[in-house]
Amino acid sequence: MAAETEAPSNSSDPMVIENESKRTKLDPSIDTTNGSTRRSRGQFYVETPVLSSVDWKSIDFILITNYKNMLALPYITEYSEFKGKVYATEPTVIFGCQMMKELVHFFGESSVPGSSRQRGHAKAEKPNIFYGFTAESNLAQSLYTIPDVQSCVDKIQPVRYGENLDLYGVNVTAHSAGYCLGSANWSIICDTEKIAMISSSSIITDIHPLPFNKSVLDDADVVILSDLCDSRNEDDVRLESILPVLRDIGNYAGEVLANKGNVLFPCVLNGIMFDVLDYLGRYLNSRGLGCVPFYAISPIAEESLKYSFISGEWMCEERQLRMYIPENPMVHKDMFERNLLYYAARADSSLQEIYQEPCVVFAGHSSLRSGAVINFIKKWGNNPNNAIIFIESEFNFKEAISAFDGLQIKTMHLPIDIRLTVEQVVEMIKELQPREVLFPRGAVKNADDIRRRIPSSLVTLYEHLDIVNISINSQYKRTYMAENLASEIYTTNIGETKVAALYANLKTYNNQSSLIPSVSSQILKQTYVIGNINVPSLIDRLTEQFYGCLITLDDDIKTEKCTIYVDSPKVVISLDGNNIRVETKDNYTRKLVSDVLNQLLISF
Amino acid sequence: MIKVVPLGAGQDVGRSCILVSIGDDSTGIKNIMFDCGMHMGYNDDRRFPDFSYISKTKRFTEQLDCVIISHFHLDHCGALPFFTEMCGYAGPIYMTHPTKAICPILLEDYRKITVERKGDTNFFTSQMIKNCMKKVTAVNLHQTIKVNNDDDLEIKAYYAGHVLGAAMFYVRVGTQSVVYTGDYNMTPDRHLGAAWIDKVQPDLLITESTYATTIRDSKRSRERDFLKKVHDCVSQGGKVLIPVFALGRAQELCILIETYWERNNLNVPVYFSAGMTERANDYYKLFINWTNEKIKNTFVNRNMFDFKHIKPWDRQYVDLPGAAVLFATPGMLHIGTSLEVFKKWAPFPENMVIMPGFCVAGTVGAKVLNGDKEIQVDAYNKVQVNLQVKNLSFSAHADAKGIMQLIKQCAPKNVMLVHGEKAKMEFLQDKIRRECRVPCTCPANGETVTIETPLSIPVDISVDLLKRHLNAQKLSLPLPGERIDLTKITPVDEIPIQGVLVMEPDRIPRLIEVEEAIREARLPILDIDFKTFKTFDPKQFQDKNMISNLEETDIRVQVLEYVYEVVNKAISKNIPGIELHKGLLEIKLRSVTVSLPETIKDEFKNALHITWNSKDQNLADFLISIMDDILPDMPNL
Repeated sequence: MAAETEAPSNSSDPMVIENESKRTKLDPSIDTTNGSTRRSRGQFYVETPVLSSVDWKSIDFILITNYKNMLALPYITEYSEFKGKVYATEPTVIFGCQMMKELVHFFGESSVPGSSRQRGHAKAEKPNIFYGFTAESNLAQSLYTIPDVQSCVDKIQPVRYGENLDLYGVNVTAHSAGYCLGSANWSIICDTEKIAMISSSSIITDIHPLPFNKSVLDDADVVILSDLCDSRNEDDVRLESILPVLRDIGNYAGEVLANKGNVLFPCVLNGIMFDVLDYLGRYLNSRGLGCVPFYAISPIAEESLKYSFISGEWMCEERQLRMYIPENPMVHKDMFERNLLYYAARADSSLQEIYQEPCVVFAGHSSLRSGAVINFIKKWGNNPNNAIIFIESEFNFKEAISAFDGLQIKTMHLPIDIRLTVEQVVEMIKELQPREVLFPRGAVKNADDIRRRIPSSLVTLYEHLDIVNISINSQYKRTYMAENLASEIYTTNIGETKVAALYANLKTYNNQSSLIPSVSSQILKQTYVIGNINVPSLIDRLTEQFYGCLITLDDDIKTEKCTIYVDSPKVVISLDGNNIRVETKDNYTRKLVSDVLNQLLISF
Repeated sequence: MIKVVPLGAGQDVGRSCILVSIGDDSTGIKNIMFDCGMHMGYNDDRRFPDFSYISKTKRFTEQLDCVIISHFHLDHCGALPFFTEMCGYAGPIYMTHPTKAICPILLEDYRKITVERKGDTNFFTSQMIKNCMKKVTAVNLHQTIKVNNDDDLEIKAYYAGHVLGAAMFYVRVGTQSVVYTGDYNMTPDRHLGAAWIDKVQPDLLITESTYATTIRDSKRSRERDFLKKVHDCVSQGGKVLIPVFALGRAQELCILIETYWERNNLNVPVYFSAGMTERANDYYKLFINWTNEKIKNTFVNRNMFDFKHIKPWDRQYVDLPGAAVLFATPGMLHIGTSLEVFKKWAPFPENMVIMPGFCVAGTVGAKVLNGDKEIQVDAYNKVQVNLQVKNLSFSAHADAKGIMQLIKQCAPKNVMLVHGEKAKMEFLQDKIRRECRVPCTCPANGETVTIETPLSIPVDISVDLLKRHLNAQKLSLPLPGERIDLTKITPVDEIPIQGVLVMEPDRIPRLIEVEEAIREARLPILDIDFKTFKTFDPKQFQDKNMISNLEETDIRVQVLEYVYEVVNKAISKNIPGIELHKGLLEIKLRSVTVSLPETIKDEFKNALHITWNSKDQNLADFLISIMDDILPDMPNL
């Protein structure tokens, strides 16, 4: 059995695990980070994973880890020959759907009126579309449509944490990753082998999602890591608690607002933004700025906020407890009801009626290339009292802001990166000693150091389009023995262990195997004799058995062979290493000899 | 073996509490309590299950592995604070998130009525309810939970549809399993979806049977019927009292009335007895994921639980003239607002009471349903009942059809009926036995039912061993001219397997190759070859086979031929699938060889030579015993 992992193009890209006929694909995602969303002739193209490198017909199922890592899914479900199943947690399905729709609103056809209609399958056979692109340009695709998104989402099977899925003999379970609502790490168990697939995860405890569930790693034979905190960026501060950075954000925003300035957060309207919103709401209240309104502006703002109100089961315990009072687990529900938090699809007249300054605005897209965020930069850009606070860690804010030269507005970079670091991962798995650990090369600075700290694990670094073979050798396969078979078994002790030779039929029915008695089990059962023959005691026992007979020993010292002769009844026993030959005149005598041997040896 | 004792809800509705012992030697016996309810018909000790059955010395925590609560109705969870706080059970308790949220509200309500209105002492306190709820572990649907981190005790919740958060529970101990349905509904309604379960094939399905004999007409016509009755009554100036549980049916009926009022532009006031309403609706808003798809999908645009026409009730309204509709708790008219209002409205024939649910025997509701014209409502007061009484079965229980449907869905090996009335249960029991062909029981409270389950022992087979056997499996090629009957070709679903079963302490038995099994023993496998002779009496053989001219051929060749025939027959009868080889002067079955002796010594003139390896000892014994039967030894002279 072999597993094959195709290395992703960036840390949150697709992975393929092949297991005999079952192939699992994890997380197709569009890379909209690092500014790789391109615009060509007024139309945006997105860089997708190398979809053509996978034979989609052979993929049995796709497991999604979180909503950020599924943005390329429609290309697979709608435009490839993929016929398998897709699994994701409930919030991932909902938020993922929202994110994809937002992407279409921001970068799809509708955002650029009059652009030529080129959908999805624009590939190498139409090279003119990519004129002027670099070598990677064959990865660029035009964006999917809203109907594509809906059709794609309809194909996803929603699951909950801890729900065991039996997928044709492979057992798959989602575990909380602690990264955002519904974020999942997957354990894939094939017979006795366990693979833990760890994607965007966080062990920071003071954020809203259900905490990271370590049991995904328990007894894992293979651990595949992806989307680790990119520790190469020196200005990315690794967090133990989110509170310090929230305090910084609070202080900074508080100052700006106290000076009658406005604050703009270019960000995604879910995930860590909920924590920022909660904290900022409470903090401003404590600073006497309690009546500063918040605006969440995005085509998906309303859906996203409202869905967060009803996702209590996916939140940390503290927030779950609020559900039982009953209060909303999201504090911003309260802000919403007290008319301190508003949502709007876009910055247009509908916003005008409720709009007042100074205020705090959360708007997308984080790349500052589309969406309401542009309206606000234009509106506030020339006033140094205003500020943009960048909290997204996965976008290069300098590149993002470079499109707007000579603005007076203050910019502040306070990234929140809650993902696991290599350091944290090593700490976690060093006790567990998995057989094999796969790290994304990009996240690892010092591989030798990792190898030194987890010496019992094989450490592999993978890179974009690497094919990594992982051998999965289950030693055992679980089955069940029927009661009537068990009752036929008589065991023999070898030390602490009981052994018994077994001949039975292995029956397979409904993917469940069981051992049942075979009609001929007693006759066909092979038996075994083990032990060392001690010649003097054998002669002693034979003397007892055949009392009064003449027993002679013919010992060949050179070859360590010997032959014992019993006279009347005539028996010849030849010993040659582990070979014994017994010759008798009749079966009755043979039985007597067998009895003697059984006394000296162990048979079962 | 599975043992079940209903401590409540055995041939009865109310006080649900089913004790299940399940397990075998390999897993240990696990004791699970399904539900811990109270009985609404009693105000004395009988209101709670008789926990002394579990342990006379109150060692409940040691006795029980876990308590599972199916939903928030008091007849399923009402005794829980009593059990944990006053009896001292401190083990795990499982229920779904909405149940955990709503349960304490109903318990508190129940406590208030019992203690403050009826003056009961020795009852659990508010603090006890809070403490009790802290011990509860909330579960999600389909989440597989290992109780006490025990690999052998697993529970999994399935959607039951009866009320918000109602769940059926699948419990697996080793290879044995039980499904407990709690209350469920197989048809979706205006706010909840239908119950659903995997085909888990449990050894036992314990199902409720409230509507064991009813086959209800379609939901739509029942709704029409309900609305028409209400409309007719209010249009003639009558008052309609609809006793309901605060949570559950009430929300569905409110949605119904709300849309009807909206559509028909009615302005007759509709009230909901206050207090719990808003909070109840808050819960529905929080747990919208547990309602049905339609409500779930529209949560962004419109909250189904924000009612325009339905206003909170005020006690003063009871004497106001004119038409009105009131939803009032509780549903069985035994106490509270619904009873208060009933007393006032009952004497007037223009008024109407619609009993939407099931009423426990002994409650005022049950008497009303029974058609009593004069009802003793408490120790001092009697009420004349002149108002119109309508019974609309809106209670979200599965009807007979639904119960049969669930049985087919999960394919159990045995069925047990609880939570129903005896006569109706017996009818359904018969129907299940006939139509589903599975054994079905309906024990009374305290009666033990034992269900034998086939014991099966987990064994880990070495993959190498398995592969060797799978590869050895060959289909026999058809002989030339042989016709293949295509209808007889079936996939191979059984293969013979030979190995050594190794049992080590604290480890699942393994079936492995012998070399691996003895590796630790550091003892060699011995190869023992046996060689012996079988003598026979030629006379008897000749007599039997009437062979005349033995002069010409060696009698031993004929005897061997004869042995071959008999053995061949015995093999095809007893051990099919093994090949008996026949050579010129020998026959061979694995290592067991029967041949003519090489020596032509006199003593072996009437004998056959047998050799075998000790591995095939059983086979050799089988062969020799056949030969002993057909070839009598030479008489000892």
